[in-house]
Parts: sequence; C-alpha cells; structure tokens
Amino acid sequence: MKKTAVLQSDETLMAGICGTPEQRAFALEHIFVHSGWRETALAMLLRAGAAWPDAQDAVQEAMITLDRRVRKGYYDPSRASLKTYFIGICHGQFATQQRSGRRIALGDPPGEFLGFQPLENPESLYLEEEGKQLIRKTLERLETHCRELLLRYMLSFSMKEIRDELQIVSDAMTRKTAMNCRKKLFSLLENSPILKSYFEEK
Amino acid sequence: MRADWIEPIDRYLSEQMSGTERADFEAELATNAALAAQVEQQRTHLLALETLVEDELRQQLGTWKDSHPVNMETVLREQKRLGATQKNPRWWVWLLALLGVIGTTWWTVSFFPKKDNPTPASQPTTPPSTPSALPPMAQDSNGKMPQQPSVGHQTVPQGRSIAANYRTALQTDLTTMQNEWGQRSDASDTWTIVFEDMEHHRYTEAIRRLKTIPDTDARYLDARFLLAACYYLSGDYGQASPLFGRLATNNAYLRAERAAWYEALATLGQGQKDKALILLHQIIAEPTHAYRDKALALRRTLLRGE
Repeated sequence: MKKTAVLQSDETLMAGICGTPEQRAFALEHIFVHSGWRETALAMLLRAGAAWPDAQDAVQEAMITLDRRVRKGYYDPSRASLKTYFIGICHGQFATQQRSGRRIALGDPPGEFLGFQPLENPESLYLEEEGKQLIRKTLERLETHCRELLLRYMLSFSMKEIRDELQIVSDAMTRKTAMNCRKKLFSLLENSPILKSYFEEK
Repeated sequence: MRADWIEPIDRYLSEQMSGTERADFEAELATNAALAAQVEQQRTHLLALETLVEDELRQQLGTWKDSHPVNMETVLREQKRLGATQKNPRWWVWLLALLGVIGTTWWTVSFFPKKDNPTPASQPTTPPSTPSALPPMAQDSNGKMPQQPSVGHQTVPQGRSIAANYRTALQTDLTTMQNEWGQRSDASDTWTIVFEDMEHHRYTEAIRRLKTIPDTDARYLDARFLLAACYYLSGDYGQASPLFGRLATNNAYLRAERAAWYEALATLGQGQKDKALILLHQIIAEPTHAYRDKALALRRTLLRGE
C-alpha cells in the first residue's frame, strides 16, 4: 500500500512522534508530505500576505515546533485537532518572523487578522537563535557515536532501546557510555569561551 | 558537577516530576547553592541537546522538501477556497452572493419539477416551510420505501425533518457540480444520464448506474459522492451516512469537506443526534472548514432544541 493511501489519525500521529526514530520520521513525513497540511498552511500564509520563501520557512519551523511540543506533551488533543494546532503554529511562526522585522507586511497584520499571536518575543528568539548557532559549532566537535546516543536520549529512549539501536553490549555499558557522552558534552560547553561569555551575558 | 544529580535535574527541567517530588526538589534548590548552579548548567546543556534534535529534523525536512515539492495546484485551490471564507468581505461580495443564492434557488426550483405524487402533508418528515422544494421519497427496485428510522426515538422526527430541509441545498450543490462537469471535455454519456436520472428523481436508476462505475475510474470518488447524494435525496440516510463518511476522511478527495457536512446531516436524519453533534464539532474544530459557519448554526439549533 502506498504511504499516501494511509489515513493517519491524530492519535497514531502523536504516538508516532513520541515513538522510535523510524515511527517519528514516518509520522512527521506523513504530516509534511502526504497529509496536505503543508499546502493548506502555505495557502493561508500567502493569503495573509507572506512572501513565498517566508511562508516556506514558517511552515518548516512550525514542523520543528510541532514535533517538540508533541514530544514534550504540550499539545492537548481535547482542545484542537493536530491539523488546527499545526496551522496555528504556522501563523504564530509567521507573526514572529514579521515582528522581528525580517520582512515588511502589506495589509493587516496576519497575527491579528487570523486571531493568532506570535509564539515568543522576537528579541529573545533572536538571542536563542544566536545561542543555538554557537551550540551547533560546539556540537560539531562531539564524536558521532555520542551525537547518536544523545539524540536518542533526548527523544526519551530507554537504555534498552538505546542499547539495541546502537548495538552496545549491555545495559550497564550503555549507561556508562551515556554518562561519558554527557560529560564530554558538558566539558565542551563549559570550555567554550564564546559560549560561556554568551551565557554569562544572557 | 555531581553525576547522581544529573537524572533528577533532567526530570525537573523536562517537567516530569510529580507535585510533591517537585515541591521537595524546589525546597532543596532554594537552600543548596551547588544544586542550583548545576540546574542552571544543565538547563544550557538540555538546550544544546534539543538543538541537536532540531537540526536533525531540519536536515530531514530539507530532504523531504527536495524529494516531494509542494503541490502548487493544491495551494492555489486552498487559496481560492479560503477566499470564499474570508472574514470581512466587502458589501458587494455579500450582495453578489445573495443574488447568486436567489438565482440558483429559482433555477433549481424550476429545474427540479414537482412530481405528481407529492409527500402527504401529514407526514412529519417534510418540513411545512419548504414542501415544494423537496423531492418525494423514492421507492427502491423492489417497490419498497427506503429504510425508516426506529419509531419511538425522541430525536428521530426532528432530526429527519432537519436533514430533509437540506435536500434543496444538496440539490443546489449537485447542480453546481453538474455545471462544472458540463464544462469538462471528458464528461461522458454515463454521467449525463446519471444527472438526468437525478433531475427527474429516478434515484434507483441513478444508484444502479453509479454502482457499476469501477474504482479505477478517474471520477470514482465523485461517483461515490453522487451515490451518497442519491441515497440522501431518496431519504435513505442509513446508506448515505457511511458513504459520505468515507469520502470525508479521504484526503485525496476535493469535496471531502462537503461530504463531512452531509455525513453529519445524514447521521441526524437517522436520528443519531449525539453522533451528529460530534461530527458537527469536528467540522467546527477546523477554522478553515468551508461548512464551519453552517455547522455552528446547526449545532446551536440542535442544542437549543434540547
């Protein structure tokens, strides 16, 4: 059966996002590629006055936010469907982009027009993005196996799941490796003078 | 940095602690400077790890974007649909819409002539306000009347009458659909005959023809919509409801929102008021749904009737 023919419910999509990397990738791919939500969101943003690249950026960033919020349990299915929630995030993302002065708006501000508010303060968002760039540079120095392990750790994998996925011999060894990787990351972050001064300023 | 603090701090920062556990932890945090320092450090580290996850996804999204470009046809169609549901259109848009509705209603009434055997006035299913606009209940091939809802259910007469009220609207939708098809070069004779059957209330014949259309046909989904509409117009809501329901959940179908609306009405026609309210709620939950305003009004009517 083709992927496009699979009708995914909100429950299965949520379970997928919180599941294994394969299930998460499948759920996110369904939302982004096959569900038609991307097209709906783009159409709404274009109608709200967004330029094509800005609309695409907003939708991509909204996907990342949706993934994070669902994984962290911030999404409440009783309040809105996942599609409505996603569209709302897209608008919030676009409103944030606009208020941070990345482009000049024509007509009504879409956030007010459509009843959505920006997600966060643009200034804090800018500072956070700056911090992330610094973190990215630091993380490039971390070994691949540690990046893989910490990625799974952040996706709330159990030690057994991490052990199976990365083919580590035992649970104890997995725990030890995880701890060593955390320590390496801590040490990299602590010993980065630029990052240290950035966080001190913040 | 103390290794035994890492896990509880992670749980605290990711809001996984229970109420009492969190309160205890915060009490300790207020008095223990070393713990407070480590919490701040780990907050930064978690941000770093979250960046790792985001970057991985950003990379993945880039790959999907390249392999599956945006369907521009769908975007344009969505934009067009959104234009129809814009919040504050100018007054002349309202005027044009009103004239359009009046014209279409007049045309539909003349296009669907009354039959010689109209529904008896005593029948509770026909609303007194629009008797001439509604087609009579059709008989099936065995000469039997379509399935009736269970007698004695309090919500049946009201629900059935409301569903019957929307037959004219469905006929108008079908007329629009027929006009769209008429402009298409690939419209074949089968479809012309089906529409003719429906215009003359020969629903049994139309159903028979529509059932023969194979699922490989390019307009198979439209055929299923027409089939559901035939059942609906002939008063067989039990058959219409699941057919509309399947179309409503089909992402590939252009008229899925319309199907969702008529599914709710057909369910109401069956007397299943609670289920109909859930279906209306699903429509209302979608801010861009083309039938959201209608669903809101109907839900209000149903709730006021309780």
